[in-house]
Amino acid sequence: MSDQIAIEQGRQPWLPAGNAELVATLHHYDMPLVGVIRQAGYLYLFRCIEGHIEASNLWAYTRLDRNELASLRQTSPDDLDATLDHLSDGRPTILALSHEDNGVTFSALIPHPLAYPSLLHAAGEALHAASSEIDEKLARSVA
Amino acid sequence: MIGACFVGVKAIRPVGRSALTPSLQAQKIGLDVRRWGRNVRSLAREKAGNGDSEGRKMTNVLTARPLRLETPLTQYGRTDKTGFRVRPRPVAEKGISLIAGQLTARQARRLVVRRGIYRPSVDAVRHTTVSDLSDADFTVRPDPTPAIPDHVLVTYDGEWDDEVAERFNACFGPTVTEEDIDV
Repeated sequence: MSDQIAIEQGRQPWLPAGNAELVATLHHYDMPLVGVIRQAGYLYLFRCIEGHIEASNLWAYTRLDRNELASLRQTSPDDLDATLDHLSDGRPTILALSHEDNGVTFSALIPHPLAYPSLLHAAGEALHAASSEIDEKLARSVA
Repeated sequence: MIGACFVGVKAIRPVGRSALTPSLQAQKIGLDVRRWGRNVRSLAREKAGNGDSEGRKMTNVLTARPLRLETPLTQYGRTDKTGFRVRPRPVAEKGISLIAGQLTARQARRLVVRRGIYRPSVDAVRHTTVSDLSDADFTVRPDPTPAIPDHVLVTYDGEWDDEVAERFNACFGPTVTEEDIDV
């Protein structure tokens, strides 16, 4: 079984599957922006990484363990960002694109986030790769 | 402008008292302080430490900075097409978020977006008060989070339709993009 979160298209990013449960909200502004989800017994940190107040936004999901959740809950507001960076840095990450009307519309696994200048670059490359594959199939289907 | 909220006959209310006591705030989110006994603070902290959601909510209510009618509130937005939110997001949203205090755009961006590049001509704020929103029939309550201890939630008891959105929008002063506000 994969140790990455399973995302269902059309779901809201803070509850990205029918079997996902929101166990902690660390940052909320009009919607949960950073928090922890439990799915099938595993814990996942979710973060909005771009588009915090926009209609569409980009999200990152990484695995956590119980001790890390406990440390997040005890983190002071001043240390929150550093703790989040520490807990997510370099870990395999699922990136998801979401729109407030349609929920999650695209997601991709980024096995090695540190290979990119930022998660936004990784998302751009993943979307570009998907688009190129579709273009190739489209070209073949009409040839 | 802010004065737009005072159109019509309004009851005169005392200024300087808490708009909502902690026990009333707790009641609004379904928690009965009396049921928790005299040691409500320590009990709430203990429950929160064990991951209990009611304990966390009660701790939040008891530790939140009380809102007074004259408390200024800041909404973060942008001068581009994003603008300022005037109604909750369409799915699963409880209300609209604001931050207690008279914040600048840079300060508000720091709390909401956390990182990235501050753009002085795009990042923006606008301000209102608890009193203005209450007079326009909105409910304002502290909703602290680890990321924004002064996070405030604005809700409306009824459908948040176009008229309500317009009324909400009218409660705010002008859009401010420069750091020209004394904090």
